[in-house]
Amino acid sequence: MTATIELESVPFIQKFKLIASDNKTEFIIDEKILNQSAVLKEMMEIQDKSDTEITIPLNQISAECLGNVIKFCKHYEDSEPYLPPIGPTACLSRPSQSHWDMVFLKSLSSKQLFDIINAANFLNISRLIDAGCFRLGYMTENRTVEEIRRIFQESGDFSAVEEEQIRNEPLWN
Amino acid sequence: MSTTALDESDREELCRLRHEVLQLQSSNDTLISSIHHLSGELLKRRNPFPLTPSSSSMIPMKRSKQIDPLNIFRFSQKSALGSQKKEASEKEDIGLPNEIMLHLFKYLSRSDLDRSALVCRRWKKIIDVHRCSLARRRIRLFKIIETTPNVIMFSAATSTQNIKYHFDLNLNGENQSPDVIHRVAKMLKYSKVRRLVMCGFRLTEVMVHDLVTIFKKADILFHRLEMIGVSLRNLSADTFQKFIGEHIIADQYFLDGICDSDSDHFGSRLFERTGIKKAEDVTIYDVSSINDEEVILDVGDDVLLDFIFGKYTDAVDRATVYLDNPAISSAFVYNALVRFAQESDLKHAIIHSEISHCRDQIVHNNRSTRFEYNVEVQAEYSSANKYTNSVLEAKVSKTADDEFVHVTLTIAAL
Repeated sequence: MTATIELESVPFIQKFKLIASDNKTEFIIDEKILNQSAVLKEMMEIQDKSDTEITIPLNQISAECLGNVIKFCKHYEDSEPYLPPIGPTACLSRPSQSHWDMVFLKSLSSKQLFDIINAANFLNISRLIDAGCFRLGYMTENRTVEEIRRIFQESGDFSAVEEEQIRNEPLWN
Repeated sequence: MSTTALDESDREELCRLRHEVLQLQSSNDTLISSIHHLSGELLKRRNPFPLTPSSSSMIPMKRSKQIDPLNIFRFSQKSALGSQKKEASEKEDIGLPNEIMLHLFKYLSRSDLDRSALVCRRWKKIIDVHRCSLARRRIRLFKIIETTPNVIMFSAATSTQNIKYHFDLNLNGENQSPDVIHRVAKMLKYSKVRRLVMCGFRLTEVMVHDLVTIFKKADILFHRLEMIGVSLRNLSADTFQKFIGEHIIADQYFLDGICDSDSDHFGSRLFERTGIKKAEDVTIYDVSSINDEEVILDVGDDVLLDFIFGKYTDAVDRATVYLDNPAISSAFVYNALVRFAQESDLKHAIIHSEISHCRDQIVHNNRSTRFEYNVEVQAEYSSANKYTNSVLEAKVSKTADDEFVHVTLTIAAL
């Protein structure tokens, strides 16, 4: 027997355990999914990776929402890193209604949609933020003010006079 | 070698090493736990899309019932409310944070933005503050023309809609009422005008002043300015040059049949104006004086060559210039060929220049000029650039009356 201390050199797949706000629901994911969140990626870069499983509690995200986020990221686990559209033509590059992202987000209720966008914003998953905003764009375009208010559950906080004044303003339809 | 065979010093060494490993492991554990703690903190504070300090202080947060100054973002607010309260407030508390709203607005058209600005104060504020980075309305054609004597029509057209205002100079005198300015400015607000056409009226100092006010108020961008048959009788050279070269910054300028002008209006300083020297396309054609005579544009060889070779501009993609009747010498083509050979930076140069109604050109033999051919109707010369693989091709065509020639300069890459 030698006096050297042998270090284990068997390769292991790093797993991450995400715990939702209910403190019960757990999601085990790998690096390909985790790295889509700039926040978690950055966090794990300073983390020692000797454990085969790292637990990350996400008190702010509900189990249902976290499930949706992971479903979205799982779809893109083997894709190239996302490059957000930039420049003046950014608005032209939006995906069609039949794009997977749009279909997926369309299947969510508006509460779920707002939650998933908030979660994406929180975890900084830029692909999901953009997809969410594109979906919201489809929900907003060519709608009347009342419809937009209903969709976004915003109540108009203008005074009657202001409202009247602003309402008369648009020249273009 | 077995453990029993170790001598005393080896044993001691092994003991020390084991101890060290244990110590390292325990410190590693504390490190991991502190990282867990820190990363939790990081998550709490994380704000991936911070608004600039100025804008965030200007935009009211969505119903600002902040519980903890640290948790200023909607998301953390919501979780801080607790689960029972959450149910009750869910209905009205669904709002998305400002940075997400801004992100959404970036993908909306101007018409959708107009409606969104009516939703609530918060939305309106975000849209107003960030309008520069949001979509502009695309106006296909904005016309300012005199329809009947002394009646000026402002008309703007998008792909689907057309809005017109008539303004009677007889009724209102020279001064356009603030109401007209306000209405036209509103019509053009946050738009990109593809073609601005001014046609067939007299441009006065007051009118230029009003138009500048409108353009400033409306915050518009122009792609192309077309000025056709406009009279400059009551306009100073400086006002005119400032108007088209500073207040209307366009990619293309097309000036045809400007009348009641003199050579000052088209003096050398015009070619130093921001808009003109950056433009990809400049055409000035058929300028006439009060006596209906042709006006010679007051630009000499040096000014025109500085302009063509882009001495005072960092713009690229400058494509064409077409000038009629500039005051250039008979050595202009020769000067152009010689200068081209020496020019070290051709990135900002105009690719194609046409100059009509010039004096007959004399091109000397020189190391850098090459004579291609000379027949009765056309002569051609070229010169090669020292630093790049490009060549300037100069054509001098003679017109029938023999008095004037037409010069074409083209930079060709080999």
